[in-house]
Amino acid sequence: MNTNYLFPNYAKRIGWLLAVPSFILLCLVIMTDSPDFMEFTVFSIIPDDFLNQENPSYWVTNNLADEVLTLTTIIGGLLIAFSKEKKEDEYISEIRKSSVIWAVYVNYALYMLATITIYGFDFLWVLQFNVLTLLIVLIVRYEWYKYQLKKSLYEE
Amino acid sequence: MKNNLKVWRAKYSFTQQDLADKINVSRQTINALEKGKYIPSTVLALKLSAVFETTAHDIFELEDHDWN
Repeated sequence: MNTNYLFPNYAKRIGWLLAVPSFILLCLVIMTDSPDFMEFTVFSIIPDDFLNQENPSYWVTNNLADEVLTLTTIIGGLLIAFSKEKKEDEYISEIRKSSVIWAVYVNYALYMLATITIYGFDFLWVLQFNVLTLLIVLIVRYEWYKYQLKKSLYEE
Repeated sequence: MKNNLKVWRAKYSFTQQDLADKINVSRQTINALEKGKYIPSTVLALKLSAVFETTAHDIFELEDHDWN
């Protein structure tokens, strides 16, 4: 099987250790407040008022807590979804691929639903979470299917 | 597509795990094949026939709805 687009099996564990705490912290940061020590001056390619200012400042101060946690959640999620199984065979590839298709449909269904129900500035929340819904749905569907397969082994 | 994998496995006294190890797949895959939940690739079908020293036709059989 040609599976060189997958990470090695041990990466899955790293993915779980990275994604779960990051996601919980991300939700906390979004619902409450970012910690002050994450305040940094960073380079921004499109600063505020970019078009109207003559000399826009490309260095902006920003709290990086949500940025860092979004990145670690995505990296962890990718490792969970795209690491090889202990026994990586064609059936498990098939299940992974069908889960990807499933996740794309559900992701856009949620997005379309949000488009017609959430307006204005609140839509930024939708965008923030929509980055992760594809991965979350993919992982949930894939792991659930694997669990069902394991269960069916003992239903003889 | 139907198959009589279970019969062949019994003939050779293999467990699902034995057969899985021989063709380098998981036991879940053998189980899904036997229950007709999964149609294997040509490579896997030919590997199975090699293990049972027969042809793919003796293990797998097309059903009417496969022609639609």
